Amino acid sequence: MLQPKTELESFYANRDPWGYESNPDDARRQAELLGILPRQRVRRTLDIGCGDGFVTFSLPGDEVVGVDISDNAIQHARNAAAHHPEAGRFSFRTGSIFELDEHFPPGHFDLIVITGVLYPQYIGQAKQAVRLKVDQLLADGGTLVCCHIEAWYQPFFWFNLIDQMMYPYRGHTHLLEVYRK
Amino acid sequence: MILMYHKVDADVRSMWWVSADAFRAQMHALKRYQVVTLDDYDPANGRQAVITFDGVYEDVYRFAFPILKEFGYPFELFVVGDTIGGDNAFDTVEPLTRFCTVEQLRAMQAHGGRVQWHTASHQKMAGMSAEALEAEIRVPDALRQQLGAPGSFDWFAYPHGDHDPQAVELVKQHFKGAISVNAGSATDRYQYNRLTMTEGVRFGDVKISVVIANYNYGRFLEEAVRSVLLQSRPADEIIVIDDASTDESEEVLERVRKLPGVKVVVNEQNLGIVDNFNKAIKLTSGDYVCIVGADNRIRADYLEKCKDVLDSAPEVGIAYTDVMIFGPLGWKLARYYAAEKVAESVVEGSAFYNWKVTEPTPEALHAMQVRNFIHGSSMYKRAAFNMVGGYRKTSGPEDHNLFHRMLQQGWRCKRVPHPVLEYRQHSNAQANTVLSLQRENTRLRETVTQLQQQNAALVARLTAQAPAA
Repeated sequence: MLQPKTELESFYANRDPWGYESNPDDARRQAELLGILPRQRVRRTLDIGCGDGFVTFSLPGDEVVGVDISDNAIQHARNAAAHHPEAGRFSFRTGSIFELDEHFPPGHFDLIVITGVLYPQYIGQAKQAVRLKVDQLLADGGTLVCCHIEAWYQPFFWFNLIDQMMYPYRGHTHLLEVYRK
Repeated sequence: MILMYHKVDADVRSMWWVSADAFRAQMHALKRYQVVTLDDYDPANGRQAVITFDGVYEDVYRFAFPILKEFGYPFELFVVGDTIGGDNAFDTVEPLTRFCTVEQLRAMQAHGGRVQWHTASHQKMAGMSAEALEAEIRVPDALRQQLGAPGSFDWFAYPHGDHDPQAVELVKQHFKGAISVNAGSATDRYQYNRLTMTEGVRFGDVKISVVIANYNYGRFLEEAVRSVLLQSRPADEIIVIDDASTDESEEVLERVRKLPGVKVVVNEQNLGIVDNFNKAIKLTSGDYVCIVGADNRIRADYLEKCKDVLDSAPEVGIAYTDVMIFGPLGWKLARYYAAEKVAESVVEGSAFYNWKVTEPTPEALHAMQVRNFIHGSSMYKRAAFNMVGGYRKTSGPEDHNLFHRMLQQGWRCKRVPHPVLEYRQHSNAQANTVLSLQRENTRLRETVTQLQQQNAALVARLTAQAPAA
C-alpha cells in the first residue's frame, strides 16, 4: 500500500529529516553518484523525489528541476535555493511521479536522477507506469541515474545499462545504476 | 469478449481495482487478440476483444491511458455525466476517488478513447418512472458538444446490471447497442455481457523457456540470471546449465539455485557447446526458447519483444535482435560489424556500441551461409528446433549452422530493431569487473556480519552457562 502523503508531509515538517547532512554514508552516496555521471554537458536535469534538495543542489545542468510529492519538502528546497549562489539554475515543484508527464513536454530532460524512490511504498505496483513516464520525459540519448537499496528494489527500465556500482549504505547495500536511452 | 475495468492504479484496494503492472500484462497478452471498438465487435469471433472502462476515474487517465497509448488499442470510456470532474463521495463503500475531467477525456479521445454513456447519475434503473429513465439515458446537449468526436455516445452501459425491459426499450431508441455488468447475454446487442477484469486475470499464452549456459563465467553468471528474472514478460521456465566449470561457478550456482523459479543443472563432465545446448533445450518444455550466455545480459524487454515477433506469424521461427556490444574487447567486435559507439562506461573505462543488425533482405539471406546476422541468443520456436534436429557439430559456429538449417526448411526470421541483447566481449584475463568485485565485497561483508552475530550469540550462551566465579 502506498504511504499516505500526509505521513510524508509530517515527516518533512522539519528539513533534513533523514539526517543526510551529518551522515558519512550520505556524503559517500553523493560522491558515488556525481562520480558516475557521464562526462558530457547537461542542459536540463530532473531530480525525481528530490526531498529538500540534498542531491539536487550538486547536480549538473543549466536548468535543474527538483520534484517531490511533499509540499513541505519542496518549501525547504525553495528556501535553500533562494540563498544558493547559483540560484538561477534550480527550480522546485510539488508533484507525484505519476503526473510528471503532464508538467513537462516529451523528451524535455537529458539527465534524470531517481534516488530512493522506486520502492513499493512509493510506486506500489505501477512500475510500468513509471517506466513509460520516465521514457516520455527523457530525451533520446539521455541518461537515467538510479540509486537504491538493492534488497528493496527491482530494476525495470527498457534502457541499456551502462554502469553499475555497489557500496555499503547505512547497514544495507546501495545499487547505483546508469542507463542510456 | 468484452473486458470491463473500473480503476487502474498503483494500489489494489478492492476487487474493482487493477494495478498498472497487472493491467499492462493483460494489455500485452491482448496482442494475440484483435482489439476492436464496440462498433466492430462480432460476438461470434472468439479472437476479438473490446476494452471498456466504467466511471471514468482519473486513475484511468493517469495509469491505464499511457499503457493503452503504448499499444495503440481503441478503448471505450463509459462516463457518468454528472460526475465528470467530480469525485465518488456518493459511493461510501469504495475509497474516495476522482473522476476524469472533460480535458482528460478529450486527451484520451485523441488517442483511441471513445466516450460512451453510463447514465447521468448512476441510479438503479429497475422500476424507475418513464421521465426519470429518460433523464438518465439522454445525453445532455452541452456534453455532446464538448465531447462530440465521431463514435461518441453511441453505446450505453447499464448501471448495477439490474435494468428491466422498459429500460432496454428506451436504450434501443437512443443507442447503437448496450453493455451490462452481468445478467446480460453473449449475443444480444442491447445487453452484451462483459468479463470483469480483476488483478489476477491472465489469458492463455505460449510458454517461454530461457536457458542460461555457463562455462567458467562465475563472475558474470549472477548478472545474467538477474537480467532474465527482471523481464517485463517473465519467462515461464529458467534453466541454468553449467558445463562442468572449474572456476568459482560452483559457489555462485549455490546462490542462483535459491532464486525463485530458477532450476540449476550441473553436468558431471564437460559436454562441449553442441551436446550441452542440445541437452539444455531438451530439458525445457517451452513453445519458445532462447539460450543466454552467462557472460551476457538481456534488457528487461528482451523476452517480450522477441515473443511478439514469434507471435506475429506461424512461419516466423526465429526472432533476432540488435546488439549492444560492451566489455574490454568490445571495440574489436564493434569495428568488425561497424557498430556505432553510443556511450562510455565511467567505471570500467570501456565503450558501448550499438550493432544495428541487417533486416532479412534477400541479399542478407543469400549471404547467410557465409555471413551470419542472427546472434546465438535469438529466440526460436521449439517446432523449428525439432524439425531440423537441433544443434550439430560442424566446422563453424553451432548457432549459425542451426539458424541456417531452419531457414532452409522454410522458417522465416524477423528482426527486433532494438539493442536488447547486451553482449560482453572480453578475454578470460579480463574476467574481473568493478561490479563483480563489488558483489564479492558485499557478500564478504554480509558473511562478516553473520559471523559476528553468531559469535556474539555463542559468547552469550557460554557466559550464561559459566559457573559463577
